[in-house]
Amino acid sequence: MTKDKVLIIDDSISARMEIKRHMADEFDVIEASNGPDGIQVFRDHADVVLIICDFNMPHMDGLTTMEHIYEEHPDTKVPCLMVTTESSTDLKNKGREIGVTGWVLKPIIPQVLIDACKDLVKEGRA
Amino acid sequence: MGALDQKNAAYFSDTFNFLKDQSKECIEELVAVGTINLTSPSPLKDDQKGLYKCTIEFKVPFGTFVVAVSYGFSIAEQIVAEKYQHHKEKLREDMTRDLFSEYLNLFMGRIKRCYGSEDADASVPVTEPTTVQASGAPSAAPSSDTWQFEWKGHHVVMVCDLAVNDDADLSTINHDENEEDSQPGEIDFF
Repeated sequence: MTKDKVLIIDDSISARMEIKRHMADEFDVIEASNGPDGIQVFRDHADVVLIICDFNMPHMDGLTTMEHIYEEHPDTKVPCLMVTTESSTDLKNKGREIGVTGWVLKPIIPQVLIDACKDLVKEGRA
Repeated sequence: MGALDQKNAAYFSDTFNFLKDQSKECIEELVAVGTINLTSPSPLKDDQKGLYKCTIEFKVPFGTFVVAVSYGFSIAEQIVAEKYQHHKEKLREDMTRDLFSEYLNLFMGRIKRCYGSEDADASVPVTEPTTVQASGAPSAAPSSDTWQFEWKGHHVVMVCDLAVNDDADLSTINHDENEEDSQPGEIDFF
């Protein structure tokens, strides 16, 4: 059975690996190490069903990255979870305006993240 | 020392004690709880695989913290190998160097939440090789402090500077150890 494809955008290789090692059984995980790469990878993989994006990244932060992706693909229904150590209300409000689906405060709880991803993917299919 | 200076010195001391506890709890996200200790400061030992220094700067409502963590490559390598159950020889160097960057990210997030910081600027840790062995000696300046962790014979030195805003009233500043509305790991759906 083909696994659903999830894109992780995070400049931290250890953060990507941490998420990937918990999700690899359930999902086909692809990665990008910064915002511009994430935008390109999403362009190249039309079958991505979920994006997990870090906020604190050099050159382009996670919200700007997602803003670019949603502007470039206005019809996309692909949900995004912003995974970050930041909990500023302003940032969350901006995320909500852009179309980000949820805000996850690091450190992640692997099973909580996996369950949420599964639910979001299932909702996307409904 | 005047009464105000004494009060400020007490405030800084309390703040840095709080930061030490928080930094230890954060590092226990990387290694098994109970295996890392806050120890008496001493100079960082040389490491054949190189010394690194990772620095982050972030704002809180009353000032700006600059936090640096200095470590030998070997401790990062060993932590990553144990955490991900890889052989050290098979680890990617960038992954090992990334470990303490992510640590400082977690630390920054926790401290900002404790002080209710709404600062939205993205702070990105910067890691650089260093030839300077960080001194674990405590700083003489009250607005700066140095502390050290020991893990399996390895040392990690943390240096923290706090630049207080001119208009900040230190007597009104409190940290909330129970922190925030949202707990780490939980998901806030919009």
